[in-house]
Order: sequence, then structure tokens, then C-alpha cells
Amino acid sequence: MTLFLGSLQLGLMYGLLAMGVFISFRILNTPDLTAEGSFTLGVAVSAMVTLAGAPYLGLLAAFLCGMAAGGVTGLLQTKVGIHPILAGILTMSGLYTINLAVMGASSNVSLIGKETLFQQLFAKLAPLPKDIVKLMVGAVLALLVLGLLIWFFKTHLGLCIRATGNNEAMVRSSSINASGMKIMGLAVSNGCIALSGAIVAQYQGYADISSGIGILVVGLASVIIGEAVFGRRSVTLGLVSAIVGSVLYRIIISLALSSNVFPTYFLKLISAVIVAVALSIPTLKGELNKARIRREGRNRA
Amino acid sequence: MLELKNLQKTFAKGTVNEHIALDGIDFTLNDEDFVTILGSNGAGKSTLFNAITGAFWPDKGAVVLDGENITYLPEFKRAQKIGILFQDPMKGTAPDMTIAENLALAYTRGHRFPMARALQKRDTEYLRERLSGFGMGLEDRMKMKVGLLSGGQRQAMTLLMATVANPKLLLLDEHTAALDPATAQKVLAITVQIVKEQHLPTMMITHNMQSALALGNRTMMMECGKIILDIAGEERRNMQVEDLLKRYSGRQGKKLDNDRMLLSE
Repeated sequence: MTLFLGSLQLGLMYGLLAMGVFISFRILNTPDLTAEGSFTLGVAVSAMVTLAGAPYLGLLAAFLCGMAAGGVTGLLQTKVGIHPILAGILTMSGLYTINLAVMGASSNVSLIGKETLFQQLFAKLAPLPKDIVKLMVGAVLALLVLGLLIWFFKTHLGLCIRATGNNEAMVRSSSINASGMKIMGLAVSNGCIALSGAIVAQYQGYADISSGIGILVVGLASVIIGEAVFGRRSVTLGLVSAIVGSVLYRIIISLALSSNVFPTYFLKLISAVIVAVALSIPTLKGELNKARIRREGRNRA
Repeated sequence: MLELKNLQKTFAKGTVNEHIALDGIDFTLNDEDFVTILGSNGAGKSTLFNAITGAFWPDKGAVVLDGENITYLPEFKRAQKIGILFQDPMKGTAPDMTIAENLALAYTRGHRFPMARALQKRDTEYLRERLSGFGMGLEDRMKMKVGLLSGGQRQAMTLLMATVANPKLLLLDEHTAALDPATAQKVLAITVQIVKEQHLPTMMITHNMQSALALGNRTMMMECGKIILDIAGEERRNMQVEDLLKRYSGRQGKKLDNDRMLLSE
């Protein structure tokens, strides 16, 4: 039960990350490596603002900083024409220094005993068990952002961003600024990713410079697991399935780790294998299908 | 009215592959003009369109649309006034978005408040009505993803998307060449109807000499980046495909190996 509750808490908080990855990976159709840096940026900004005594402002500040990071990648991709993957790597690499600077040149900042928004809510909602409060925070934040994103992608701007990821040539001939839309989309995506880092930092009570390592794979795994359950249909459903996928991912991981088969440090390898296997399914299916056709064709002949 | 003034464009300048794509094009498209454009591959027809839409800039010269010099205006900005269709039906629509979403995007053309709802009931009703005029049954499938439509259906949709926001110029780059003959006829008929209704100045590239003479009010022919023939009125009415061919090779000063080649689609 605790295992399940913990997975649900984490799954909802990392659900923000999954939605952010969904935006860049599925809607904009570019694998965006900025995520690794912008997640840590969210962690660092949130921790420092919380230390200064404003945990809620920490979330907002993290979101805005994440947007800026995504915007930089977008500018590199569109205005100077750097390959999307390289643009993400450059921003991610640059962010490492910025994140260290944010954390006062130290690679670890502790929030133990500090007024995180969880501590404040534990006090306010006193009789409620802490685990329930944590769950509520995750659920409220995930649903709030989910609602805003669903609305956003139904607006004119949202539609333009979706069209840009789908057919850029058509967008340009419909008098839409394709570069602007890419920048905007990457900003929103990385804003969500940083927000995820922000809430995770306050949840776990520390910020670490290496929080973002492998985080893109975690996000991708969530998106893909979600799609395995819901299929790929609309954007609205895609965003919902990203959150569900994130929760399922956490459950899978915690089951794998609690079974004592794998030590904790196997986490990233397991994630990578999940993503690699999930992404290869369509091709494997095709190959199996071809093999079947060949076999049946030979039998008939 | 579209004015092209001494347009010049050379690709790969200063290399062995240097190619003069536009060689001093002077051309005026009047508001009531529907001009069909002929010319062999590499004659500069598509390059001319690209210079007009802003896909690239000419080396020299000016593009003036309704009195405004748009030579160096970014592509997406001038797209508000120019509708364009390409040969490839996949180019003009977003496959993973629904018919309604595609049309709404084209209809509002960037001048809607960004945070407004993209699909508004009144717009959708209007677009549905326009689609029903095509007689392709698309109006009943507004929520279907465009990727599931056939090439002809997509091209008809693209045609509506290119013209629905009342542009000042319509460019058609062999827009029926990838379609089967029956569908091509249908899309051409819809094209003529829309151009007539909206009084759209139109330029249409085609390889079909028959339809080049049958459609519109003016025909021009390009070769090596130059306009070598520009006919309208009486002269055009009396023009036969055979004459056109003779003229074509006559002006070129060389006999084509196989004239028949140009007659076929």
C-alpha cells in the first residue's frame, strides 16, 4: 500500500514532466534534450526560493525559468538554425553551470527543517495524514496544469503550435510564424518540466545538481506507457495518458526495485530498456507480420 | 494587382553549376486575370512562384502586390495575401489534425486573438457549408483526421484553405498533376468556380496545353527564366495547341525532338 501510495504521489508530480515531454516529443515532433537541464533548473530555483521563505513563489519562478530555458533552445533551433538535438544539448550543457550558480556554487542544497509548501500544508491541514496531503498536492498541481494545457491546445495559439509540429510548410503558407510557434511550444514544454522539478525538490526536501540526469528517458517512458494504454488519438487524451503513464511507470519501477531483483542504481537502465522496447514494438510487429506473410506464401506455393 | 519588375535569380552563382532561373521577368497580373503558365521543366515557373511567396528572395527586382512592395517581406507575413497550392496534396494540410482544425487555421490566418478558442461554432458552420459545395461528402467528416483522406479530397480541402481568407492572389503549381483524371477534372472545376466567385487574380502552372488554353483568360510560356509568350484575347482564342507548339519551338529557334511529348499530360 505504501508502495502504491508513494508511486501515486511521485507519478503525479512527475506527470508534469511527462506532459512537458509529450509537448516536445509528440506535439512539436522534436526530441528535446533541454529537459535534462530544465528539470534541474526547476529543482534549483524552487529550492533557493523556498530557502528564502516563499515556497509557492518557488514553483512559479521555476516555471518561468523553465520557459526561458526552452525559449533559448527554440531560438537556437529556429533563428540560428542549429539541429534540434544539438540545440537541446547546448542549452542543457549551459544550464549545468547556471544551475550550479543558482544553488550558490554547491551541488547540493538541503531543505530539511525549512518551510516547504508541504510543511506549511501539513501544519494547516493538521489532522490529515502527511501521505494524503502529499497526494493532494500532487493531484491538484497535475490536474491544474492538465486543465490549463488542454485549454491551451484548443486556443488559436495552441492550434498553431500543433500544426507547426505536424506540417511546417503548411503553417508558413497559412501566414503563421512557424519559428515563433516552435519557440513558444518549447517554452511551455520546459516550463512544465521545470515545474515538475520544482515540486519534486520540495517533496524530497533537497536539491541536487544531478537530479536531471536521465530525466528525459523517464518522461519518454511515461509518455509511451500512457500511449500503450490509451493509444494515440487526440492531444487532450495524450496529455491525460502522459500523467497516467507517469503513475504506471512509478508503479512498475517500484515493483521492480522492491522485488529485490534489482538494486536501486538499476533505475536508469530499467527506464532506458522500457523506452527502447516500447519504441521498437511497431517495427518488430512489422517484421513479424512480414515473416508470417512469407511463411504462408511459401506454404501455399 | 501583382507587378513583377525585372526579377532576377541565379542559383549557385560563380560555380560550374550556375543556373539562371529568372532572367529579368517583367510581368503584370491584372485583377481580372487568370493566367495559365506553360514551360518545360527548369524553365523557372516554380522559381517565379517561390519569389512571389517569399520562399527565397530574388537577387534583383521587385515584387509588388496591390501597390505594396513585398519583395523582402517574411514568407509567413505575405501568406495572408497569397494562397498557394502545390502538386503534392500532402503539402497543404496537417495530417494529424481534423478537417475542422485545418480549415479553422486557414480561415483565421493569424489575425485571431491567440488565446481565443480555435474552433468557433459560427466559423465551423460556415466552413462546413463551403465544403458541402464541393460535393465530396467532406462536410460530414469535420472531426476526421486529414491524414485519412484521399489525395483529391486533401487537394480540394487545401484549395478551400488557400482561398477561404480572401487572398489577393492565388498561385497554383500543377495542383492537379498528382490526381487521377476524373479527380483532377473535379478539382479544376472547383478551382474555376472559386476563382470566379471571389474574383481572384490567379496564376496556374500546368503541363497540359489543352487546359492551359481552355482555362482562364491569358496564357504565358516560360523558357530559361524568360517569358517567351504572353497571349490573351483574340490571339489566344484563335490559338490551337498545334500553333502553340509551333510558336514554342519557333521562338526557341530549335526544333524539339518530340513535339508530341509536350502534348501529353
